[in-house]
Amino acid sequence: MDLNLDYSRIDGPLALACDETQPDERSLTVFVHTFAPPDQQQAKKLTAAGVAVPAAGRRIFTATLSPSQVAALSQEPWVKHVKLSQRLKLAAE
Amino acid sequence: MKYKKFGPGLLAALEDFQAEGAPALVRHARTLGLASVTGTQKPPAAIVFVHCDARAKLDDLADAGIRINQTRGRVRTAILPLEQLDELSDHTKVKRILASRLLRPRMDVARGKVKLPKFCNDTGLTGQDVLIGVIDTGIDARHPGFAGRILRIWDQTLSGPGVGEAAYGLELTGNQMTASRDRNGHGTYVAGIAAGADPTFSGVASKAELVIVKTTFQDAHIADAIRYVFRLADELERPAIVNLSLGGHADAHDGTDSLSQIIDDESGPGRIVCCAAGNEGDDNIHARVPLGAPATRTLRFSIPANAVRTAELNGWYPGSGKLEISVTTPDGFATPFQPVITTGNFLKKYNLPGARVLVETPDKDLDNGDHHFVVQIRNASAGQAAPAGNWQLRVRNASALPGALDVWTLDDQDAPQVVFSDSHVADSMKIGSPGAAASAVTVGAFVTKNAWTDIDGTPRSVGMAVGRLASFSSEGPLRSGRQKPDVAAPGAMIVSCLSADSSPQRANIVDPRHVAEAGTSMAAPFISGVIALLLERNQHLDPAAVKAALKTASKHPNKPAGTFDAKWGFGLLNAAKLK
Repeated sequence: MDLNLDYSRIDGPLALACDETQPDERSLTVFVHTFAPPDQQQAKKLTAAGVAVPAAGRRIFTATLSPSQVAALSQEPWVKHVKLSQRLKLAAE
Repeated sequence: MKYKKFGPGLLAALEDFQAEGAPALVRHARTLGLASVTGTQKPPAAIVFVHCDARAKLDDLADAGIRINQTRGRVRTAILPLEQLDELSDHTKVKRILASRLLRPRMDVARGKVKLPKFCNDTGLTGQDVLIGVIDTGIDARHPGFAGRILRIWDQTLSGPGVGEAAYGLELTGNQMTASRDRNGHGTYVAGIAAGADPTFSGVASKAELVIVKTTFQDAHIADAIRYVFRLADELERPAIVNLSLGGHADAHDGTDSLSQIIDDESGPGRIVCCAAGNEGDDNIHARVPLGAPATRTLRFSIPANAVRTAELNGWYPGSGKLEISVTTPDGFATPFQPVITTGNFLKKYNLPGARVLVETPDKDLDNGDHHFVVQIRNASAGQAAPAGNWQLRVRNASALPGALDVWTLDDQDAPQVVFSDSHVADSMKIGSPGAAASAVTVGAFVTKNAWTDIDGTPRSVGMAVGRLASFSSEGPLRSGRQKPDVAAPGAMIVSCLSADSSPQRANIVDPRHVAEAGTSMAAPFISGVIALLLERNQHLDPAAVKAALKTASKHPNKPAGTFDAKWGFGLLNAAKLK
C-alpha cells in the first residue's frame, strides 16, 4: 500500500520501520520536529494524531504513531521532519 | 590445629597473639574483625566466617563454648575467643575459617580522592532543597538509603494514564511507590551514588530529594522524562539536575539528534542535565575514513557467530559531496553501489546468499546539513543470527569530497559485538546521544579502587589500574569538534545501594544492601550529586556556569590546568577547588 510518505521529511530508520509495520499499527515511537512552535490549528492536528503538545513554545514533540499517521504528518508544510526514536543502553560495565 | 583451614590474615593474627599476647592484635584490628582487643577484661575474640556444607551440624561445638550463629548454610558466622580457634579448626565438618574484614564506607575512597569531604565540611552543603531526577531502571523505594526523600516515581513500563507530558506509564507517590520495582538494580545504584544516605555509606548529595523515572529506554520517552522532572521542579520551585547514565550510537555524534536538542532546549538556570560519556573506550565501534579525491575506499568490520540478529552501520559525512555505498559479504557477494536518493524512497533491500542487506541513502539531514546512511544486515532466514565473518563497506565518490566519513557499528546486544577490524578504527568520537548534547555535563570514569571483599568474605579484584582513567571510558571529541567529555569522576569500582529486587553477580555484592560496579554510569551521578551541592548554594546556575565551575576545579594529572583531553575532558574533579 502506498503510504504517500514524503521521504524528504523522515529519517532512514523511520523509513525502514514504516516499511515493516502495518499501515495502521500504532507502534512507531517518534520525534516530530516543526519549523516553529505550532499555532492553534497545527497543535490541534498534532493532538488529533496522538502527539503530546504539553507546553507552548516547543518545536520538538514525541509520540507513538502508525505509518499512516507518520505519512500524514510528513505531508504537512509546517512539519520539518519526523525521526524514529532509538533504544538507548545503560552505561554500566 | 588444622592450619590449612585458616585464611592468611586470621592465621597471622593468631600467631602474633600466641607469641606476644593481646597488644600484638592492635595492628590486625585495623582490618580484621577482632573484638575486646584492648581496654577490656574479656579475652580477645575473633569474628569469623565458618565455611562448611550447607546442612552440616555444628551444634556439638556449643559443648566447647563455641556458638555458631546459624544452623544451616554454607557460610556461617561466629564470635569466639582466639584460643578456641584451634578447637574450631579441628571440627571435621568445618572446611574453612576466615576473618571477618573491617569494611570502610567505600564511597569514601572515591569521595576522598576528589576531596569531596573537605568541600562538604567547609561549605556544609548536602543537596538540601535540590531535586535530582534519575531516569533509569527505577529504584528500590524501600532501601533505607533513600528513606523519605523519593518524591515521585513515574514508571513508564507500567500501564496507566501517564503524566502531563505523555499518556503512558503510571505515576506513583507515597506507599504506592513500592509497586514499581528496580529488577535490574542500575537505577537504585545510580541514585545511591548521587544522593544515598545511610550509616555505612553516603552519596554525594545525601539530603537531595529524588524524582525517579523508570524508563523504557526509548530516547523519545527519555525526552518526556526530562520534561517531566523539570516541570515538577518548576511546580516545586526548586533547582534540578537530571542524571542520564545511558546512551547510544545511532545518532550523528554532534549533538544535533532529537534528544540532544531537547536537552539543550530544556536546560537553563537551575535546570541541568548530566550524562555518562559511555563505555566504548575499549571497543572498535568507530571508523574514520578521510575523503578527498575521487576513489573507492574500503572499511572492514566483523560480525561474530551467533551473537546478533541485526548488525548496523551508521555513517555520516559532509553534505558538500555524495558517496555511493556498497556492502560485501564474507563470501564476497556485493550489493550494487547505491547513490544518495533525493526523491522518493531511499531504502533499498538486497537479497544476497545467506544475507539480507538493507541500505538507506537519504538526502542531507535538515538538522546538520550532513549526509547520512544506514546499513542493516540480517540473516536471509528471518530470526536467525546475522551471518558471521569479515564484511566490507565500500564507499565511492565520483567527485572530490572534503572532510571525512565517520561510521559507527550498532547491534542488538548490551555490549558491542560488531566491530571494525582494519586500520580505519579510530579511538575517538565515541560519545553519542545524549552525552553529545552541548549543554549536558558529560562525565568520563576514573578508577579509584580495583579490589573489594564480597559478601562471602572472598577478596575480589578487577584488571583496572587505580589512579588512571578507565580504559572503557568513551573518548571524545564530538564529530563537530566540540570538546567532550567535560570532566572525569570516580567510576570504578564504586560501591552503592543494592536493589532488593535485583540479582547481581554474587561476587559484586558487598553486603545485603550494597554492590560494587564500574562504568561511566557511576561517574555521572557522582557529578550530578556535586552539581546538586552547587545548586543548593546558587539555584540560578546555568549549564555554562556549572561547566565553568567544574572545569576550574578539574585537572588532567599530566597536563596544565584548563587543557582539554579527549578521554579526561578537563580532568579529574578536585572538589576542594570548587568555588
